[in-house]
Amino acid sequence: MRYSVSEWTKSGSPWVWLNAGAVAICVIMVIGLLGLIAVRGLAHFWPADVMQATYTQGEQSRRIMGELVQQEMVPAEQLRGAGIEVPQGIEAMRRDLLKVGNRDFGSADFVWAMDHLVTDKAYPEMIMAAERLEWGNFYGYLREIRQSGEVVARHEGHAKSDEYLKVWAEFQQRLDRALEIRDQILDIEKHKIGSINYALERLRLKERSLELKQSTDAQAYADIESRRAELNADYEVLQQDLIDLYTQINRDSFTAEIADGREVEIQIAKVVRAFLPNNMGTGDKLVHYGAKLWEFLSDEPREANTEGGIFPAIFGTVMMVILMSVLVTPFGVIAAVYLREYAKQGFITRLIRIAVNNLAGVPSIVYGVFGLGFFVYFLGGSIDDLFFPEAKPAPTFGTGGLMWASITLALLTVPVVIVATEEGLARIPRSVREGSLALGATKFETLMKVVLPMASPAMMTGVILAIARAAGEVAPLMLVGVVKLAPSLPLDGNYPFLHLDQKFMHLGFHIYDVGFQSPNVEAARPLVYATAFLLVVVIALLNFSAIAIRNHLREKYKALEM
Amino acid sequence: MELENANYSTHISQQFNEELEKIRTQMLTMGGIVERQVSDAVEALLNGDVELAEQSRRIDQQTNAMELMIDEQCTTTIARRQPAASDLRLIVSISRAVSDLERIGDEATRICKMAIELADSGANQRGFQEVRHIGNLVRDMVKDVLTAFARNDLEMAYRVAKQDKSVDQEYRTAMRSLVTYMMEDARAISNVLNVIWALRSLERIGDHARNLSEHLIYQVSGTDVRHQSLKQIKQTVQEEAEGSLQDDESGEE
Amino acid sequence: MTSEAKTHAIDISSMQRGESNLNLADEHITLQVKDLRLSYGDKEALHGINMDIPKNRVTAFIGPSGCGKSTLLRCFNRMNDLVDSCNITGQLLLDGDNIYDRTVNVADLRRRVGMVFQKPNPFPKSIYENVAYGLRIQGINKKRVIDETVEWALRSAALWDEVKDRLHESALGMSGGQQQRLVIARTVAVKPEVLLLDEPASALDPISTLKIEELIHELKDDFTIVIVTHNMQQAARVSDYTAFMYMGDLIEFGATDALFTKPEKKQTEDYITGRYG
Repeated sequence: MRYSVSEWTKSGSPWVWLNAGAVAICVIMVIGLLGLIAVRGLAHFWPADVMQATYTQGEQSRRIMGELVQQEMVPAEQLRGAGIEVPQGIEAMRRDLLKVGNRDFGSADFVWAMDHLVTDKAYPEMIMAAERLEWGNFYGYLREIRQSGEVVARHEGHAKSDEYLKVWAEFQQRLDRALEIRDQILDIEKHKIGSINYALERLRLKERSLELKQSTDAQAYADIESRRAELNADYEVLQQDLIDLYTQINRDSFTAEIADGREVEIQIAKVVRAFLPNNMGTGDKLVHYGAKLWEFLSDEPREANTEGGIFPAIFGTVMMVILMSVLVTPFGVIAAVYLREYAKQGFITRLIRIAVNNLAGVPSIVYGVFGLGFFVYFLGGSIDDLFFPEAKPAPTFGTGGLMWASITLALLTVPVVIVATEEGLARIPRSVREGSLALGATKFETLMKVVLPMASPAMMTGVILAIARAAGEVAPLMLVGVVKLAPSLPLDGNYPFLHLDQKFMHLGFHIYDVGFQSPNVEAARPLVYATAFLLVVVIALLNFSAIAIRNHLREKYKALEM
Repeated sequence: MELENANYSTHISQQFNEELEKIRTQMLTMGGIVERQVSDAVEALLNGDVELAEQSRRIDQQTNAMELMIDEQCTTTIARRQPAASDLRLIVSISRAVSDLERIGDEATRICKMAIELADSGANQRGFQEVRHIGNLVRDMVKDVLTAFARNDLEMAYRVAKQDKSVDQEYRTAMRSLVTYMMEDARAISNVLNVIWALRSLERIGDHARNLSEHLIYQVSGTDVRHQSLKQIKQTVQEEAEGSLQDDESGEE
Repeated sequence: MTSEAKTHAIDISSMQRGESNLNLADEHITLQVKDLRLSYGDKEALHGINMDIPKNRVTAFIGPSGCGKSTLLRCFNRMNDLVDSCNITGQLLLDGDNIYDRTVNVADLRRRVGMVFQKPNPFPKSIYENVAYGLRIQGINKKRVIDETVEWALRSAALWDEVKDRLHESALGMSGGQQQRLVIARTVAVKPEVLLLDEPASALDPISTLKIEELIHELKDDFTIVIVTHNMQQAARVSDYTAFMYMGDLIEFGATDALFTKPEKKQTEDYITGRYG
């Protein structure tokens, strides 16, 4: 069958192919992006095997232990430039990145090694890996367990043996005890002492405000004083408890043989989690993986955000987005209702509409600057002067905080809501409004009872778009309230429960911080991916819930599709 | 005014125009046949022409068939077009008119029957003078009323209605003289009775002609003038003439 | 002998249709239109309309598109107020009071003069809430009162038997004809004096149309009904009086029986017989 090009063009198939191709490319890119960050991020929590090997550099050779993180081919030229001998005729050489940990005993916890110089690779079952509160991971062979300096159990050798496992079991038992005690310590430090401190701070502010008012109410001062004494007494008791607990937790320590053969002593209290990675089956690893993932989601960050979890950031992001939605929805809807329903459709209305549309295109950092200048310094400063003079010179609202961040983002996204709501209002058929008016309803009643409910799916669309935009914004937030580390959540059990003036953490900023501000780039990289993936998941969840609400509303008010 | 004449050609639906025009033409065609029947019947009677009488009787089957056909077309048009106002009146009056025309045909046939019976007894019977006279009157009435239908001429229709009065008059006179004659000559009774039957049919044809003119007046003016006196009919016709004059004037504004 | 004669004598007047021989002069007048002029901007859409709408009768407005019949209908409950550029002069008296008077509360007026539109426009609520809407707007909240009125209104609209088992389902699940009857029930529920129907059956199938027409016939005992329709046969079927409008003028207004058999004006004749105007 003959087929001419012009006929083929006329048939329209080239267009179909072109369009389908473009869609396919887009889909592949999006899937690739998600796949990359998901694989890189989620793989981080899988317990990697720990390799033991001999590394020969020139004449010296030494034992190294660590996880193989990455391998890459390096051009020979580059290596020669770096002073490494490369035989002629070889264009590239393999190089390994090993995470050797033990930052407190060596120099760096990541080591690049030329692959051909690493020999005798082995994965001994009894190498232990320990995550610690500080100094990063530890790798070595467990040797002794000490209680108050006395050796309780000891073992020599590297091979798997009953003896070794017995010591290991003893170690695990003591680790569990230490973890339990630390939970108690955290509870006291964070919650009990936290609330006492908070109450004391409030008392101080109360006293200060009395002073500022030059009050001479002796009774009030006395009340404050007695309450303070009460709190201080409570505090003393808790302090004593803490000292006891610290003594208990610091009772145990262990020693281990590290890569260079030294035996070092470490407090068991410093260990978060210890395991024998090469001895774990797939089941064990899955359990370990789950635990790590849960820690990532639910814990606070440690070690300059490179370890631990990112719960405060998740919480801060969600909180900020919810507050933003709560603020932006009424403003956007009211503005849209006025523009569409009440305002005279003239030149000025059109001008305002154009202005609103253009506001959506203003770079977000500009909103950040405006938020900082107007909300934080001007409004916040005035609020502090008027309502919180007792806290001065420390600012309350006069510095970035959750409220200002939410308002700034609400301002950033309000055009989206206005446009979407207006669109929705315009789509409500005139006949339905007239039907209501003809029954004797006023325009306001018609709006409230018929038009707005019918336009609610459109409003939700606006809010969805607003959420999608706001949750991903970082730049303006850096100016108006996001910080690198704010472990105390903006919502807690202390009155008034929601602390709008508090600074908070944000996933987007967290990615930036971990990725580019971290002292330990190699350790942070997987976390960047994991956090990015989590950010995507959080935004998706926020969107999906909003979409679910919208679809429910749409189902309810599907008259529009008639 | 032109409304009446150009009546059926101004609808937006050309199809409707054609349907109405067809019904009307067929009615007028039927009228022509019936008119011919009447004159043939009178002719046959007067001349004792049996052949002509037989021929005329056969034609009656045609008029019967035409009545059915035109009536059905009227029904169909009502069902399909739901005509209103003048169109509705046109259909209704045509439907009534064909029924009257058919009856005229029937009466003509009866006259033919009498003509055949009378043919044996020879021509120029007693009473033929009256038959000729009334027959001419009635034939003219039928002709005139059909012309009035063709032209939507109310004046003419009114004249036909008025003519019926004089036919009735002539009929009564003829009856009186024929009854007198029967009393004088008993042998002639059966022949004279036949003549009376023929006269009676002619009188009935006159009545039907008047009915036809009333249908036309209803069709054009919208006023049903059946069972009304001539005076009232005259008034209706005059009003209609004035009304259409007024309409003409208002149309020119 | 006399009694026999009596039984044979038939009273002809009883055989006539109830509506025939209607005469405007004998009617109670609900709405009076006096020299009503309406313009959109500087374009006049109604050029001085004068007419009387009789009480408890069905009055139909017919005429070609753009003749102003819907505009006139919408004057009766001041729906034209919603159009900014609309300017009205003349008087429109409802039971003797000018509804364009400054002191008239438009919402109250619209309760007295209900309106049903061309396209069924039920609210996206349940059947029950649709009918109860007008009552709730009036501030009636007693469940018993609302229940009773809803049932009464749905029965009036010949809808009760079809929907009594699914009162709390969405009204949007009903067929077009049912929706339109629901809208009529909704309007009837607030017990207006006048019911304005703006081409109520033009979006419906023939059977639904007949049901609506039947309903109109039944409702006229309680309401004064004004209906705008494009469908002349419909106007002929349902109405007692018909008004023919053309280019913003009221051409002819009279009893439907007369207007459809013997219109007085040539324009009316041409329109109802389908000729070039």
